[in-house]
Amino acid sequence: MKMASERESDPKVLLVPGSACRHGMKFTWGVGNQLFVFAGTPTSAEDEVSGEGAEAAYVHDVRWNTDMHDVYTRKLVNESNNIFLMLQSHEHGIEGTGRKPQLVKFSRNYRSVLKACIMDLIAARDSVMEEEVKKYYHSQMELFQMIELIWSLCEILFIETLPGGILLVKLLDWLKWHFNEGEKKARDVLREDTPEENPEYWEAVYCYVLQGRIEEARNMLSLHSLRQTDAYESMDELLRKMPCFTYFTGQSTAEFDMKWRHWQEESVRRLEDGEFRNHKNLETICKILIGDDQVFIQLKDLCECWYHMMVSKLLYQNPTVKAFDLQYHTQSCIDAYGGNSKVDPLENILLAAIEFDIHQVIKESSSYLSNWWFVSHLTDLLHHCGQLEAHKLNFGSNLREYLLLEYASGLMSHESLWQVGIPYLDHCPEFGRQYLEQYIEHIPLSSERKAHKVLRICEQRDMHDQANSICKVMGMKALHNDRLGSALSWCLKSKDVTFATYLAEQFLTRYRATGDFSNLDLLDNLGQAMLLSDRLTFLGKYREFHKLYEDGDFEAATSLLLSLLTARLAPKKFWLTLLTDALPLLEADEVVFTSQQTYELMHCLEELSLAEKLEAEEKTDQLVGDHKGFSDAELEKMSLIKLALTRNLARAIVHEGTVLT
Amino acid sequence: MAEVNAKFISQKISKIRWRPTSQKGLEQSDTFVTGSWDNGAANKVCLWTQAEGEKEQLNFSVSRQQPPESGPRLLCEVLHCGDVTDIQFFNHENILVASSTGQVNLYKHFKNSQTLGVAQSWHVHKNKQSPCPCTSVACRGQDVVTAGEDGRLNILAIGQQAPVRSIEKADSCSINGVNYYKHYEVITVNSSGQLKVYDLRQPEDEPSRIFLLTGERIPLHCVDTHPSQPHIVATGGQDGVLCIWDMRQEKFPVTLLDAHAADMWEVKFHPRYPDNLFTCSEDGTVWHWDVTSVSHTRTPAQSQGTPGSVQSRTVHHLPATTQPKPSGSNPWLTIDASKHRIEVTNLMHGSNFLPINTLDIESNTVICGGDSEAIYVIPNLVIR
Repeated sequence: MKMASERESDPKVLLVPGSACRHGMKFTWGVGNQLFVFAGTPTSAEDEVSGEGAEAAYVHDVRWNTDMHDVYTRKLVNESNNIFLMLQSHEHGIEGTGRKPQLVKFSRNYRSVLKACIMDLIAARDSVMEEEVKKYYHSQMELFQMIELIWSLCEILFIETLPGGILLVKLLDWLKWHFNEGEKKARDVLREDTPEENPEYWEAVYCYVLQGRIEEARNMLSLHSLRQTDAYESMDELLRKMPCFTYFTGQSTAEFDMKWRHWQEESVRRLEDGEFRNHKNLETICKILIGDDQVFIQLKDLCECWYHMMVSKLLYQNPTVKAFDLQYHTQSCIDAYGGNSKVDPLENILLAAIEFDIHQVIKESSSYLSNWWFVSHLTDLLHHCGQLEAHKLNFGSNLREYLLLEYASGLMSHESLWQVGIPYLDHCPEFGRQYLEQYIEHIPLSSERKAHKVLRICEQRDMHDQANSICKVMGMKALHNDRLGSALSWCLKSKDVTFATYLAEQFLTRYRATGDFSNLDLLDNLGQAMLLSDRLTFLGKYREFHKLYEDGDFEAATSLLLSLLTARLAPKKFWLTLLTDALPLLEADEVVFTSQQTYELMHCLEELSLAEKLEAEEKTDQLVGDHKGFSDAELEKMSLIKLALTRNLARAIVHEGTVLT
Repeated sequence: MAEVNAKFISQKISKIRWRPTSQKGLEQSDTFVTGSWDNGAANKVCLWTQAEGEKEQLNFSVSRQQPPESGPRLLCEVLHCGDVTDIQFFNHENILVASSTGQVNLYKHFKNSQTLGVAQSWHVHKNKQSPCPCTSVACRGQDVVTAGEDGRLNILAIGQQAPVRSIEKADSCSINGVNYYKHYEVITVNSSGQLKVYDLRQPEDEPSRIFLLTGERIPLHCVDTHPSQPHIVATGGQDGVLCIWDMRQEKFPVTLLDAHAADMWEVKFHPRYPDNLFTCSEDGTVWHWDVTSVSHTRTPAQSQGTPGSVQSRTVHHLPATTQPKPSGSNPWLTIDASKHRIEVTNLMHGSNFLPINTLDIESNTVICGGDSEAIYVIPNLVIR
């Protein structure tokens, strides 16, 4: 179940289907933008009255801000992430004049991936059969087209920040990309044998003229059968002579202004001379050329909307208009289309942009376009352009960070896109880290490889607590799967002393049960790591004793065994095992234990039985009946050891005496 | 500088493999397979071709200046249960794919219908509670060996459901990679920094030899053997260091080369020009290592585009062998003496920030992919 993000600031209501919610609803948080909603349980009294409880229980998975998760937008997410990161690292690069072209390039890169996404969506829409899906792709496509429209206007106004003259050329380009109605008409018209007879012929010509596409307009006119007449030739000449502001010739605005005035005066003269009196259509074109207010109103259907009309009007009335002055030309055009009440949300965003109210642009875009991708990336770009003075919000950090966090949260909630979300959080100086710490612990670790990846993310950011918790989770998982070796290696990674002690205990218990060590490949190569906990050290050393014994190095084995006992490294309950291990050494043909060493062993044995006796007395004092002392087998073992010890002592004394003499 | 072409495919790539050509000819393969990971229930195995097709693909290349039809084209795809953890071509049309669910599937590519179908499936790696990922699969001739996080090795035979042999306690940690070393011997790397050799002819379950990194038990992630001199083995691990091992020596690696800044996920010798080696990493880079100048006594070539200085640490000095060293001893084993002559190039040059999980090389084209959900094709490399 998916819910589109809120379009308005008021809460969005989502009905959870199912009748089982009589007793209210409960929820628990999932990862990020995800809730698990389920029916509340009735109080016991209610339950008795209704007498029913055996109804199918559903858990509803509710998510929001999911519109960046589908196949086509995922490409956009990943490609724009690259651009975002390059933009962030660029920050420390060139300063001053060299920066602007760079930033414009970043903006173009963003728009090009956006364009690619739109093209993908169109292809997808045209290839699927299901109406539902088709509609979804179509709406997505429209959304991104809208975004592209806003972005390109913002690019012209805020990022390129062009002087008068060039600004209008850019705005015309902007129109050309987004309004292709005229072009479509022209294409239809050209398909006919006599284009001029098509009622759309003139509309197409007007469209071209309104968009300042003079070459195309002249081409259309040259198809007319009357092209040889004076009126048509005069119009063609006018159009040909129309000055256009070019980037590269280096002409000043004043120079251009003069040329323009000169040309327009000529147009006015020709109109007044009645050169086009017999050709209503040419007259209309000429009226456009001289910037006649009435004619724009007349052609308002061809302009489609107020901002198209505004640019067209400015072309013929004020071609060197400056960016900041654009806002003084909006109202008359808006009025032509029914006034402010008819301005739709998208147009409001554009209006705000023209009025240079960046915050309004972002605010309206956030609430109208159900998409954090656009506002977060645009805001970030504008921030880098220095267009965004630090704007403190009533909540959280500044606007840029707030939007980046929202966008990243959407990504972090996705099972696969979480990796893309992390760089965005990295670039939120104030709250990014806290967010990341929260999210990273909730990423499900399905395999060791994934765990290594998450671990690397933590290590690169010095998030030691989170890194340790990952190791612990993986260690516990391995333990539950009965994989002691894996568990130990995860434990060593996080240097978790308690866990290491526990695991070493497990290894020893297993050894006592089977008489065999498992996981030798790991235990034999512990090295320094065994010093992590006493119990682990004991385990490692005890295994070393076995190895020495197997290799026949009895002397080393003996002293190791003795040091394990005398240094009190061995746990008490393991002493008997150790003493039993000494048995074959005591009974060996050669004397291995010296008398001094034998005394120490005897001391240990004595201490063991003494402790046992003390405990037994204590228990009897407390009248606890079922005291379990040493089992019969253990007692037998102890007497065997005692016997071996005394025999060895005798031999050792004799042996030492012999050597001395 | 090598050009890098990217195609975004909306799934994180865990493995990429060239398909071997059908005839043992000299022509270069134009088909490869990718596997995805971490995509919920929608992981896929996809077969792509570089060959010119009738249908052109839009949206290709980072720079967007290339003709759009030059990108890889999807031939067919199939949903795969769990993350794809490893892919090996058994032969031209059969693909072995390992999964994080512990399963290994044999997919058959049906050319006529252009589909992929499961020909056989083994569930060979299991844990007591949670699913146990199978981490690696290798094949040589008719033999298939799989390894998993349960530390188990399985030898499988196509057409037979039960494993031919299972070495249950092959490793106390997870086995991260397995590769054939000789016909009856396999090499494994594990998550506690050990490299083991198993002789499959022996009845015992013990490894015939254990090699290890000194010091910290740094997990090894990947292993590859030299195509013509199998006693030379390269591994990569969590610390991004490239280790070269000589299987004729004892216990420790011959050379450690400081390489990537993060986990090295795959290491590959060039199949026909093994003086060239390729590595990729969690840090988002792909490196081309070229030791041809080490083998030929040329004047030391100035290395170009070297990402940082390559430092070599000798861990273990080779004991003087009894027989005299062959005069043309392999450059990989002698780089220590002439490490300044290794040429290392970063093939991704900063166009990618997310991890690269996998790469494959054939002829002079490297393909790689990772968590940025893109296939990168790097053609026209200079291979000497």
